[in-house]
Amino acid sequence: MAESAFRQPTSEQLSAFARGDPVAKNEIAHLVLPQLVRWAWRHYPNLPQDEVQSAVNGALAEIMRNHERYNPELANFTTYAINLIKLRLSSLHQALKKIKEFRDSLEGAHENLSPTAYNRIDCTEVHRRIERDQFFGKAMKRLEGAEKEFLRLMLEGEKQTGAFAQVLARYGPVANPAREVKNMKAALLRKLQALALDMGYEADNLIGE
Amino acid sequence: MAMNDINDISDKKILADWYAYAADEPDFVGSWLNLLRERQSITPDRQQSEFGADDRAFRQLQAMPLPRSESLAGDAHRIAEVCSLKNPMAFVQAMILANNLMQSDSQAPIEEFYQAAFDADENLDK
Repeated sequence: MAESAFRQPTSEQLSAFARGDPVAKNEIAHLVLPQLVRWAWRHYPNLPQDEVQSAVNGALAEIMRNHERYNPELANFTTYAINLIKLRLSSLHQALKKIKEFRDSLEGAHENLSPTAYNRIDCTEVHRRIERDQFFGKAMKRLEGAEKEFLRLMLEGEKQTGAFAQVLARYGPVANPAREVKNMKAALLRKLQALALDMGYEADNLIGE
Repeated sequence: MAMNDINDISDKKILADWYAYAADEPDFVGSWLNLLRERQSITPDRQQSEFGADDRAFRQLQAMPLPRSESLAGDAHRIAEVCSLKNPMAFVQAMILANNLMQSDSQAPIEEFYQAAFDADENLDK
């Protein structure tokens, strides 16, 4: 058997350990545990210290629980323990790697989502939109007939002249739809600006779109 | 982690962490003492006092491997001596009681199964 850099249990302690003697198990734990924990910390400096120590504790508890599996004639006690510790630390390394990858993917997804979800509209813009909605709600009540329908279409984002011409046609004959729609829109905007001033709103902020 | 940091951590600290770890593991004395506390509705302080153990000895006691079933009393008494308990017999009695509880718990499901196999069957068709 190869010489070991670690202090080893005596042959009497190992013999009693093999018979499951709890006092011998405890003596061996006191002898080897600090050596094994320090060995693991040195060899796995990138793993969290507490996790490494817990893995060593777990390996030692397993060895003590299954004492009959250890054959002192085949390997030093610490060599046997280190092989088990390596397996546990390898599993720990894999688990931590997976957690890191998962966290990174979450952070990446969060960074991609944030601008669209929260940052596109700032607070000033939100206040402006609320004020605008309030103004057009009040203005709608001061309009009548074709003006009211024109405003509704404009707020819905309608761009087609035909849609506005159909409104005009319901209120009278339309000789030149394009020109009459343009004139009606211009008249409506002037009226809205007047209403905005009258109500104390800044017309440029509301109607400039 | 720097090498100095590793060397600054004393064997005492490493063993204290081991005591805390092993006390919660099956096959260590802590698991049996916990079972007794639950069944007897007593506190850890009361148990510690009954064994005549100071804080350090009680922590070490709970991290000791369980006594072997074939030499239960002898092993328990040796464990009590290692941990310098002032009332070793209380600990030996506790280990015997816990062993009995463990055995009765492990037999309970078998008895229930045995009983179910002999349930009365005269009304099964009704």
